[in-house]
Amino acid sequence: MSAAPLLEADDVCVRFALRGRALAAVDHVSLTIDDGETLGLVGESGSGKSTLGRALLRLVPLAAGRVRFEDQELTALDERALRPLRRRMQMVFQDASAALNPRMTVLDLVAEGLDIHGLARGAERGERVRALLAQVGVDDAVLGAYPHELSGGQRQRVGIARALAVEPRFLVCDEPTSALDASVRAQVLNQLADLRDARKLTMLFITHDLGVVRHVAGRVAVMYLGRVVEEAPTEVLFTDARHPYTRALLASAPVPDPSKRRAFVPPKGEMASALDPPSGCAFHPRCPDVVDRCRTEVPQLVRIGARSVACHVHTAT
Amino acid sequence: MPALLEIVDLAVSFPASDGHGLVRAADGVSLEVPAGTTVGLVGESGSGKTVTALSILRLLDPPAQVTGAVRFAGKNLLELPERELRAVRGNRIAMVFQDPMTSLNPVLTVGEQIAEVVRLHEKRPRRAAWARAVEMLDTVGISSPAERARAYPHELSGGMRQRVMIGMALACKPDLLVADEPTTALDVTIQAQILELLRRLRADMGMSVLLITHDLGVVAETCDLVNVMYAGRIVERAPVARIFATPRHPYTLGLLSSMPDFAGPRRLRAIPGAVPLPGKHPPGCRFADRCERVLDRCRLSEPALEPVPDPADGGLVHLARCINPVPKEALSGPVSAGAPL
Repeated sequence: MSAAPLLEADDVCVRFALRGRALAAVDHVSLTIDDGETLGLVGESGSGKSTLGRALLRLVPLAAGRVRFEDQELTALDERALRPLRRRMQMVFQDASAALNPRMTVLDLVAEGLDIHGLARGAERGERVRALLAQVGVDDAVLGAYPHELSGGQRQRVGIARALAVEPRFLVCDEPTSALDASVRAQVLNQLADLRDARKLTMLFITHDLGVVRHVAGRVAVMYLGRVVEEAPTEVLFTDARHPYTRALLASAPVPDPSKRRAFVPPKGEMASALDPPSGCAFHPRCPDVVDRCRTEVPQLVRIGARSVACHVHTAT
Repeated sequence: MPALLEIVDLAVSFPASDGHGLVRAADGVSLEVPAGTTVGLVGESGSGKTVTALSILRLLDPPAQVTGAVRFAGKNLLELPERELRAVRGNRIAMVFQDPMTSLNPVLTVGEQIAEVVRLHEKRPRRAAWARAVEMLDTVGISSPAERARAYPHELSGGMRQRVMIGMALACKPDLLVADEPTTALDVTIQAQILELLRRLRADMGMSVLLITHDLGVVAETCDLVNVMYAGRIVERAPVARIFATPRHPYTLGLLSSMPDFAGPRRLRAIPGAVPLPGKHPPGCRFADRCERVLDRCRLSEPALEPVPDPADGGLVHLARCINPVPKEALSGPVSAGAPL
């Protein structure tokens, strides 16, 4: 299988200005997502994972680098030329109550994409919306309801129906289940997986929840302070992580099994601010395996077998 | 050993949103916190766990109505005069909330805030109270505590603010800490640090903890005894190992099965439907509409929270509010990987 990836990010940088200073939210990230693949993107708050997701859809401007989608270079297109492509790439947000216009009914929210792209009108428009709601498990009794009248789970499903209305090929899901209760989260995760399989969707699944990523993704990239520090097939990452940050992340997640309580030392300190990043490897102030070189030289992603790791110490096989 | 805290038949009611009558957010809640233990109170949104926690120190204002009893050190806190209650609050029972930013005063340094608590409760002079504040910041793992004591809350990270809150809560060495989702807003590596801190402080200070959370992973790692709440009711109570290895209430089993844990890709066993709104639950068992083990009888009358028969212990330590409890071997798949116990 050597087909070109559906999406390819090459050396992407995103910078924000904050208090007169430049902040590198995404710092030289390269990754690919194959057609039909679900790539998990994991990291803690401030790691840049959401910003990267938005940059891939060109929802935030890139400071440097390129993004290719379906053999077109998105970064070379203006907004007008981008519009037909927007239909092919959609996003589901964490906070559906903020992402949905509170003055629009469920019908109009889900139909908005159909209207913008002129895909359906009249009776067909209503039919399409009904069918979409059925697919995400929402009763069409809520067609005339406003977002605040829905439960959190229903709102998130409406957000998913809205994204799927224009029949995208690529879906960026940014913490789509983080605001949901456990029982509802499981329903929505199952539904997303079903829809992905039925529609042969390619997905970037952004989350801080390692359990969720292991559940949905075939491959996972781990971000720390704007950079990808490790990337591997999911099972490789969960059973044999190399980067000390990935290991710390895995060890920190509580395991729902009281017989497996372990004495472990959580990683010390906190992630530095992107306004004032550490020299060399950004993880070095917290790293148990730090050596001198880590303090001065930024490690590059090095491919080792099926995985890539950015670490001076753990790149030896 | 007698319980340090005993909640008896607690009910918390609010006026219904349609203006007609009252709805009960917590209903007939009874639980104990034995001295020296960490007791978990687990549930999803709307289960009533937070209103239960807030009722302990009477932190709910009207129109909320609280009935029942909260016994602590031989007194019913719900009937204590405000003056006497103030001697309990902070001093003997302290509380930590999910969001330290809204619980800390933004215009005072964190050192001043901790010192104030110490002055109020221990009548220490200003200088000694400040020294105690710095000492507490050190205890909760804040580096350069003398410097950080002069910082304002907004100058600290979320993890550090939560450490400050814990430092403030523990400054007067309370007998009981009520922690309401203390790590929910934190990143996972910081959560691990805070949980480790709470474990260490509990052991050092001989304190008891009532932990309110929606996170079963946190429960598994920290609690001795677990209460599971659903729609205002405690539906199951057992030692932590039992809850995870042999849950007997179908809701608890459903919660465990719906966790996307570290087992890899498999279809999650989701619980159908949604938690009923307060006052809108079905007759009989409140979980009946979502339960895969439901019987006709379940809809007739609500079952009591009763010991489930178990030859292993004579049926005393494991309680469930269910007339058709899950058989002991029902839990299959990765969540049961920890059995046998």
